[in-house]
Amino acid sequence: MTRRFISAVSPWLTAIALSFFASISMAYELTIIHQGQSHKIDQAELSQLSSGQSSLTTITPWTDEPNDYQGITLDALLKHLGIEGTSATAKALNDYKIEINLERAIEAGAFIASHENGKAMKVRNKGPFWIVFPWTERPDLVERKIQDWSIWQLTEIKLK
Amino acid sequence: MKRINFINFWFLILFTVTIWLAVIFIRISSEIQNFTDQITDNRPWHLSQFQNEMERMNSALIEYIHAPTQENKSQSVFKMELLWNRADILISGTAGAELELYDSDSHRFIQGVQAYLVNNEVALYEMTPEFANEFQQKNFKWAQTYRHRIQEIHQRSYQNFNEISTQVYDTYHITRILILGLGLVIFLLTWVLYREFRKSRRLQQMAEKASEAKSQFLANMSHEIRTPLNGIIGSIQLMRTSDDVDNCKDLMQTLEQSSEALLAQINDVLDYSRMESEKHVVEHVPFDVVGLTRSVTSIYNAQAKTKQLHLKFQYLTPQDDASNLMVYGDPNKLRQILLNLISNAIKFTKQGDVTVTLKAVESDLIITVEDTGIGISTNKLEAIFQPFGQEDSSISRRFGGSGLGLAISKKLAEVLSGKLSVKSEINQGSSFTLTIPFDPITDENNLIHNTPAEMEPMELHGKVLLVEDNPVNQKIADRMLTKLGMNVTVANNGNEALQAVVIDHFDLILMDLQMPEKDGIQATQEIRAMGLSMPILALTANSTIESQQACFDAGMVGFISKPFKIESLYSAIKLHLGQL
Repeated sequence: MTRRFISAVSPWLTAIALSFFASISMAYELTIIHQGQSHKIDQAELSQLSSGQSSLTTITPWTDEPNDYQGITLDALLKHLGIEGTSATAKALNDYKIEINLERAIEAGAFIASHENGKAMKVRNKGPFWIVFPWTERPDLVERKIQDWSIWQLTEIKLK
Repeated sequence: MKRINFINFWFLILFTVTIWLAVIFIRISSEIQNFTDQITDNRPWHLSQFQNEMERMNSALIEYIHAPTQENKSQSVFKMELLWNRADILISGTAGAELELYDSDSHRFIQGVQAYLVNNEVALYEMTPEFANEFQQKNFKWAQTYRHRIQEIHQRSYQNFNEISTQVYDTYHITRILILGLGLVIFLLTWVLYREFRKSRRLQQMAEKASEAKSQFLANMSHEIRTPLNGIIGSIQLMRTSDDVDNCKDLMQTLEQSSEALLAQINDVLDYSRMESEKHVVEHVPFDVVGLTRSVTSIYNAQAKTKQLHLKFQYLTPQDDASNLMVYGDPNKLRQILLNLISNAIKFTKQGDVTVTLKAVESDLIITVEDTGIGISTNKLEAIFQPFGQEDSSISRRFGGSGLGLAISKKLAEVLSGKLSVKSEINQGSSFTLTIPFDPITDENNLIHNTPAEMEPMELHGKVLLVEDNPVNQKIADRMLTKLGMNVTVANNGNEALQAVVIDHFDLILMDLQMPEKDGIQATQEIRAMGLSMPILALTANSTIESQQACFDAGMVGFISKPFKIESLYSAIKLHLGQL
């Protein structure tokens, strides 16, 4: 009977464990630092900030098909927070850092994605946050600099 | 011609450089393309990151296995996710397509890793210590395989880098040489342009100077012509109103001198203008050079006496008694030079001596005309031999002269295969030296003594036909011929001449060349065609070699230059009269 119980319960347990771990990954936050002040925002919150563009469908150099990304444009996010700057240092979970020229990136349509096709992005899938650009619309953006700015596993943006 | 060659040369260089530039351009374009590819290709970066992540995950797993805390577990899961993401990146999108193409082994390997991860998703996220152990071993094997592969990739990448670097180096090298070449070409071009510019400036200046000189010459000349003309017109006017015979004789002399001066001036100008363009025929006749020099010197005795100058001729000879020296040469040209030199000496000397010296030194005859005159400044010694190059314009105003005499003399000296040089000092005097080759006559028996024709009575007999259209010339020639004793018939042009020879018999015809309707040459040809063979002499103002030849070809036997003196008319007619 115990065995039966266990075998009945284990898929549920797995699901709970999975969702537990899934929710762990959902706890990732994006930190935006500006003049000493930190603003933290998680994936759910980011996708709710629907001021301006909140979704972008595009191909990328690293995916085989176009995907639907939910999030917010970099421009809108900064405006929402009421901050601005000329450049920022973006940091990823694996400590990868890249300096971004904010004006140029905004002009290129930088978009911070938190969800892919409706699902929150996992670390193993470029989550929690990935800066994408509208490559479908603008194929000219496939240049080295833009690609370097397309940082995945984004965790922090520190403005100068 | 040189300019044409230069232009061809230039086009050749320009063409070569253009081709070279095009080649370099194409090469650099391909380099840019290379670099663009290099820049967008960040595969090596991702591949080596993959290795890093495998290694880090390995460490995290070992740590967790060692000490299975919650934190270590999170770390392991986290590292696993990083690795999974990296694997995804490498085999998806354009990067994936390229990897499949260029490195299908790596592609397959990473695909294998991804497949494992996908299949064990649940266990990976759960990350029990037992599973961690299993997974770590798996990962370790992966890392080992991959390390070797990565090394290869790095090596290839490095070689690639070297190749491209060498290419770039070569391209830069060639570009540098090309830039140098271009620079040189530009420099050369600029230099040539500058030279051409300078040349054209120089030519312009020369043209301006020549034009200036010509204007000055014209001014001088018109003055020189007007002066004797004034003398002529003045004398005639005075003679009209004078009854005094002596006065008239005096005025007559002035008239004669003025007309001679005028003639001399015009002859000079014509001589000079012919100088540059014609070949001169140098005569080779026997004459007494001592006698000629002596007689030319004596022409100026009167002038010298008037100015109270001491004019002397001396023949410096080893033998005391020699008073003549027979040579072969061109007496007329020599005479012309001497006339010019002595006349200048007299003209430019206010007091003192003018000495003409002749000596034979080895193979040269040296004639020196020395004076104690105003002299010539050192910096003008060359200029005076240039046409219109008198010492300065004030000289020509004070002393007259066309400015051509010395230029003509110098040219004549050259024509005689000799040279004319000068030594001078301001206010001390000048010494002009004419050096010409000496061609002595050795056989005394073959000599024809060239004694000047003394004043023998000029008498001619015979019927002469004078063909002349100009009434003034007609009158003068008619009177001269009549005075000589000839029977003169006048024809106004060629046609009248032809009619005349049919009607009457003539011993001699004097034919003017320039006439309307039928000119002298044509008339002569037609007369000869009729079978008439009396001597025909041309009366001509133009005595170029070509025109002389034309006269001979037409059938004439001689010429008389206009304006002519009665003596010349007499000698010419005498020479040919009676020779049929």
